[in-house]
Amino acid sequence: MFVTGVLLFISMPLKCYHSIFFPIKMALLVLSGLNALLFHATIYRRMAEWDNDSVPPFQARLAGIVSLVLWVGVIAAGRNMAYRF
Amino acid sequence: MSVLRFIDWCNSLGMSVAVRKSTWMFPIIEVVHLLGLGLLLGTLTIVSLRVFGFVLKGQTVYRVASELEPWTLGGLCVMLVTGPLLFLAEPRKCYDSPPFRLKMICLFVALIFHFTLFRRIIHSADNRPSWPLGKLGVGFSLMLWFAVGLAGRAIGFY
Repeated sequence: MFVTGVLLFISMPLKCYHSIFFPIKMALLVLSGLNALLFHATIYRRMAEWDNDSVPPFQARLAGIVSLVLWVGVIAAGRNMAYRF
Repeated sequence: MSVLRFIDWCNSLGMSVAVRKSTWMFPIIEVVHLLGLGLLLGTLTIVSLRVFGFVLKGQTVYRVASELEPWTLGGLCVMLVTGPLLFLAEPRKCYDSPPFRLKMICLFVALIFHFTLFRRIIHSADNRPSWPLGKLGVGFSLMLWFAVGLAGRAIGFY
């Protein structure tokens, strides 16, 4: 996605520049990365403790929900770049 | 009733008028359509990768497929609801669009294939460890669904 994303941006940089959704999308991507980083640096390290639990610990589930919400946002923002509001 | 009369009738529906008049309704319905696509294609891809033997080899094909199936069907339902709503926004444009027609044909074939041969392959795959025909069938199923998606994307560009 990164490679094709860069290609798409290069092909129509002005459209990206003029859309409010492009910076929103980029910000959401950064937040997704931070969320993943945080998850991997903390609760993921202790996964052997909770991997076999039927319900993972709250921090892991929070990371999952945040991830889902952020990525849905990325898709929504990306799709709406095509429209002029 | 001719197809064009049906198109005219679609254009007259309240839902059609509402979506055309609104600036935000179409984008929202479209995003929900894409999220449904994510569920449908995402889960289907994981199941297919399992049949090919690339992922989750610690689980049986049947286990992976049956656990993911509710999500596949859920995604499909979301798409089958939002799809007609999107169609209603611009019925004439869809009717005139070659990619749209191709998409509908592929969708029809994909649905039939999914609920017949694909199901049979999933149920038999664990009994036949290396099954070229089964893998071919699953690959074909994946191709059909990606064709639906590609044709859908092409509607906007054609």
